[in-house]
Amino acid sequence: MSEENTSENLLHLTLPHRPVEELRRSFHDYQAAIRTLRYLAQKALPPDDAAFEQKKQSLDKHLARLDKFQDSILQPLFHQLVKHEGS
Amino acid sequence: MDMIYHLDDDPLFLDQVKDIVAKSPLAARLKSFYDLAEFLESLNQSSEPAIILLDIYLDRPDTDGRTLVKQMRARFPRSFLIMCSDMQDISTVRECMARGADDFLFKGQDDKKLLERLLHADAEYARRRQQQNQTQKLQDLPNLAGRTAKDLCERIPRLLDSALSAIHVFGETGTGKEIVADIFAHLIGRNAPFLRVHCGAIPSALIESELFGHVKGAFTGAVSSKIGLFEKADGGWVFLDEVATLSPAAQISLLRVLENQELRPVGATASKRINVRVLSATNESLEELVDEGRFRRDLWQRLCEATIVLPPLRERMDEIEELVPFFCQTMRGGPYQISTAALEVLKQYPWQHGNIRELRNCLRAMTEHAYGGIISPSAIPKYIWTHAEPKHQVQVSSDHIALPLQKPLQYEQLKNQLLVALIRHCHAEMGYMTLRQLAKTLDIPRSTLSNKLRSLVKDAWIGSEELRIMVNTQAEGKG
Repeated sequence: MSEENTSENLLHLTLPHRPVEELRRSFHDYQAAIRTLRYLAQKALPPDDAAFEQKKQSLDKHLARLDKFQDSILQPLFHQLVKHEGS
Repeated sequence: MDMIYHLDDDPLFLDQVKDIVAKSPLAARLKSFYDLAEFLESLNQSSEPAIILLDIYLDRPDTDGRTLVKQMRARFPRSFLIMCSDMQDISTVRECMARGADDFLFKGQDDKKLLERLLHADAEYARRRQQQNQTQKLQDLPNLAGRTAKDLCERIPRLLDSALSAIHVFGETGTGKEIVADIFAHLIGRNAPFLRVHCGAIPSALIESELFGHVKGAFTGAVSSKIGLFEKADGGWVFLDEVATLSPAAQISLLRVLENQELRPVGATASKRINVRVLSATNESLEELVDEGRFRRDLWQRLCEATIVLPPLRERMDEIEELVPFFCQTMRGGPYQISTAALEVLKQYPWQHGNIRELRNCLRAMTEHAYGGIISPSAIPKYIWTHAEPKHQVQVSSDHIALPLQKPLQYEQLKNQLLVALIRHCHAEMGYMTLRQLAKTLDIPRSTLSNKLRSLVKDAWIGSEELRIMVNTQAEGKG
């Protein structure tokens, strides 16, 4: 059995069937939520805070990890789901 | 002031864009809208926005950004339309572009990238507005007709916007070099100076002083300092007409100005920095003059960064069909109409001595004989008939009648042309004729001939004056 087939079977096993448009809308809403949280988190850091630099570095680090997770896992998974449901 | 309109159902993204614009060098004013009705109401009351930002998925059951973008594009064709979304997939982007959007903005990008897109949009809107202004200006420009002039109207704005600092116009006399200068002057408008000088009209001893100025006492008669044409045109353009007539000394000075953007007035000890672009024109090929040693090669190369070649009229005879009616419409005492037969004859003349100017002057002369406002072949001067190319000319000889063969003729046209040719032939053979004599010669019933002559005059196949000279139509009743 090829690796691709295994992955497809795994999707079948773990996720219920959803219409493509619903998947797209969900992913859109997730990305909007992350963007909003990112913006609010950045705004919530007062520049006059004594530990501003450390806190900003920490936030940037977390946001970068979030980006990495999204780009390497969520985005490909979403595309695979859409492809799978559309086929 | 330019406006940016932003519609989004996410107040936090509206705030984010507000922050970005506030910290940016953008001069445009941002108006943010959460409510669609308010957005449309505000647009109704304002002039064209520079940029419109539309969210794709608005949290409403009816209208979303995709529906709106089509309306906005139809209403504001120059505005820069940006669709925004948290989804970034090819199909969404493609759909937005197909509906008339100019750009797609992924909301999740960082602020720096969002600002880059807004700056790009602002620059693109400014470019569109400038282009529109230039098009409008060209539409306002009078005295333009023909394919070549229209091509120039497309090319000259590009030349003006380019980095070129010297453009040369080459064309025989009367091909429209002055018109090119007029288009430049019109497009430049009042933004910068555009000064003209006819190099051939200024004595060679004075040309350097005219172009570059002089200081007091530089030569006998220089009682005060004078600012030269190039200094006056600083920041703009100088049009050097007939540049080939410049003396060798003036050529060297001009080369120095073009090379270094520096000029030294006659008699001065110091140079001045200037920023001048040059439009030059000649009716002689500068390349040939260089080969003959009458013009400096380095100056020729410097002047011809770009060249506009105006072909002689004989190489674009198809334009006569546009030019002649245009001149007839705009000529004093007009508008005049020209008969098809007269136009055909004008198309056979080579116009090699004055091109379009010669054609215009010839038409002016022909209006003297335009009876009833119609210019017929009888108004055409004799030299045109003499020099019109014989192979196309309506010719009558004792052996045959040659007709224009360059395009297929309708049967009725052919009959009319034949009849006119036959009348002229009979007149050449017999002199002044009565209607009866002509009818007998042509073997046509007199009444038929009389009707036919009337229709020939009415349809402008022949001028009534010309016909009167050849045939006594009044003698019809006397038989």
